[in-house]
Amino acid sequence: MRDERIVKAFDSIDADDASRQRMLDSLLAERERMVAQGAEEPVSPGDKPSRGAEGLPTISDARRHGATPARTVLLRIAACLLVVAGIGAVALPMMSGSSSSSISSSASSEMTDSTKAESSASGSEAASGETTSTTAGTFPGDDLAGASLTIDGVVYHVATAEEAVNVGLPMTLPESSLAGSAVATELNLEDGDVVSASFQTISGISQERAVAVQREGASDWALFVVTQE
Amino acid sequence: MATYSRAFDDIEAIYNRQVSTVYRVCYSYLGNRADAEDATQNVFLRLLRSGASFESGEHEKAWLIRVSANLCKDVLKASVRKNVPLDAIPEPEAKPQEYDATLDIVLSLDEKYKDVVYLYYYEGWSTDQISGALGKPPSTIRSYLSEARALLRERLGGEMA
Repeated sequence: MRDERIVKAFDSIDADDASRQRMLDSLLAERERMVAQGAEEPVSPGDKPSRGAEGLPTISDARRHGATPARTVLLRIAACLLVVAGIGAVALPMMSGSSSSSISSSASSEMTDSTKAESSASGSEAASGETTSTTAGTFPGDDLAGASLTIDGVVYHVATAEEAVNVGLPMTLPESSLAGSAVATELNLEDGDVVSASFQTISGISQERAVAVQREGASDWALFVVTQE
Repeated sequence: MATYSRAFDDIEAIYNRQVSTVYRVCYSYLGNRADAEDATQNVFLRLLRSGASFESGEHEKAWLIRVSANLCKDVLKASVRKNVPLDAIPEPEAKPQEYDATLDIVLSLDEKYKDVVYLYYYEGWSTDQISGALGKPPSTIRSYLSEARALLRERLGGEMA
């Protein structure tokens, strides 16, 4: 039910023409940048919007649209790992026991999505002969596709497999890699939902680059990286 | 049912339709033009990257309002965590020409009431519509509205519907 006083109050605030144009220009430039980078359009032409009970896009939409490229990247990384693991096994014959079991687990052809994510990011460690503990976590993207949060004005998003490799960390972080203490925060999911979470810094990684985030009720720490606006 | 709007293709049209709404929601949380403008821009960037598509104008507006509210809450939390020193706080900006003191009273409401008050009293939505848009139970919306109404009545005087 509209209230005239409140309508008048809100009518008194609006962006001026210059601001509107500035924001629009920036938005169109970002779209051009996405097109130039060959970003696939997020929604295919025949897609009907999936509406939840509240009439909003659901997280399953984000998963569905995000799943194919993420899986493709993971498969490519897994294939590279097989090659690296093979070279490692030949070049470092002294490596045996725990390290070889680590390599063979990386090379397993029956890897689940979660172990793919884990082993893809920890592959360099396995190849260099270090014993890598495997966290039996779930693939973070299953729960956190498109999730983001803001810490001290800096926006972070859940890392893709490629970004995790760039940072040199797995997508699901073992607790031993965390530093400092957990700080409560809130996580924005792709569909606009907000959920409670904690974040923690990562040993040897600047907070300006990445942090570990644990959704409330989850056991895994997911890697989040800074979003470059 | 035909899709009303796909964000990536129609971003300019969506922007032109909804920029005022998003800006007002952001302003109601953040209380100044510069931050409201930054937040508004980020909401539309998030829309562009989200791949969301909408069935109706109401659906589109609800999505944007919900994302705006969440993003502004993040900004406010971040600024509290930063523990900004007092001398870094900017001077209050000049009031709009058509300034109405009612706005200050609405802006002074607790965060949890702001989007509900905006949607109910400005957009004219029902409590069920607001419940759907904000993802909160209708009983919670009615409770927020009742509390906000009492505060507004006390501060504005007169009757609130």
